[in-house]
Amino acid sequence: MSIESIFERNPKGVREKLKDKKIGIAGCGGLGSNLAINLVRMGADNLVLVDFDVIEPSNLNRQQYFQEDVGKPKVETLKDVLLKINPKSQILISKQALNPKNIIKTFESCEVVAECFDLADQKAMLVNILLENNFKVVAVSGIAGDQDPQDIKINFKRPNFVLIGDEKSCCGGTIGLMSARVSVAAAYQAWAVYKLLGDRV
Amino acid sequence: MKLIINGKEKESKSKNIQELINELSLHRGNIVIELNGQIIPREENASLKDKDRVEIVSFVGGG
Repeated sequence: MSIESIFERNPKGVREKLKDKKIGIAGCGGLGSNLAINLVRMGADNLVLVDFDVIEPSNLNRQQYFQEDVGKPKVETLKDVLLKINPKSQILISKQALNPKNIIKTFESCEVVAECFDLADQKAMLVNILLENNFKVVAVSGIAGDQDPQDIKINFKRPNFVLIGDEKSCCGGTIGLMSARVSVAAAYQAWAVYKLLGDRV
Repeated sequence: MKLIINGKEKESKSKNIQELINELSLHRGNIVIELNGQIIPREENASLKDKDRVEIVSFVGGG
């Protein structure tokens, strides 16, 4: 089977635009796991996955992992899932916590980086550093709760910065995260990554 | 003086970005700030003048 037969039903040009483009994914939880699967199905085949964490039972409400994966590192497990879709993909994994000292090196030569963290201060830290260094960035803010997901918007903040979310629905206390809304945001991220590729900053 | 914050005109007494963050009760660790199109690094401050355009993106948790 030719790998290209995976993409026969794609809109024309989508696979071609994503092929061989290095895309960074910071965090492989609800956003990152859904985003990575969307991107590989769309035709991306060169990803950098970064996450320090292992899979917990409470991740299974929205993250693309299974019972048998509990206790395993997210980056390794997600890589296996992606290779089941496209075995020819180049998936570089990094099991580490990102900080101001290692972000640039980790995502060096990535054409776009997607922020897929959970905590607000970590999101802001990553996005600040990436934007200060002129990366193309797709980030998420405001997807918690169970309300109508149509409030989740795709906002082009700068030519190289797309922000997805309602910018206010915060997770915490009794407000949790549901798969439907997280998946919508991750799918929007996949589209925004596609959109930013190749466009000049 | 008048600042244009996220597209809306606002009267402000803040002389610099840090004072504006305090005035708006924001937390520097959770935001990205752009002043007249330039990202202001987190460890830097910048003076404000009349008619400056400030864009503030606030991050909230969830992912």
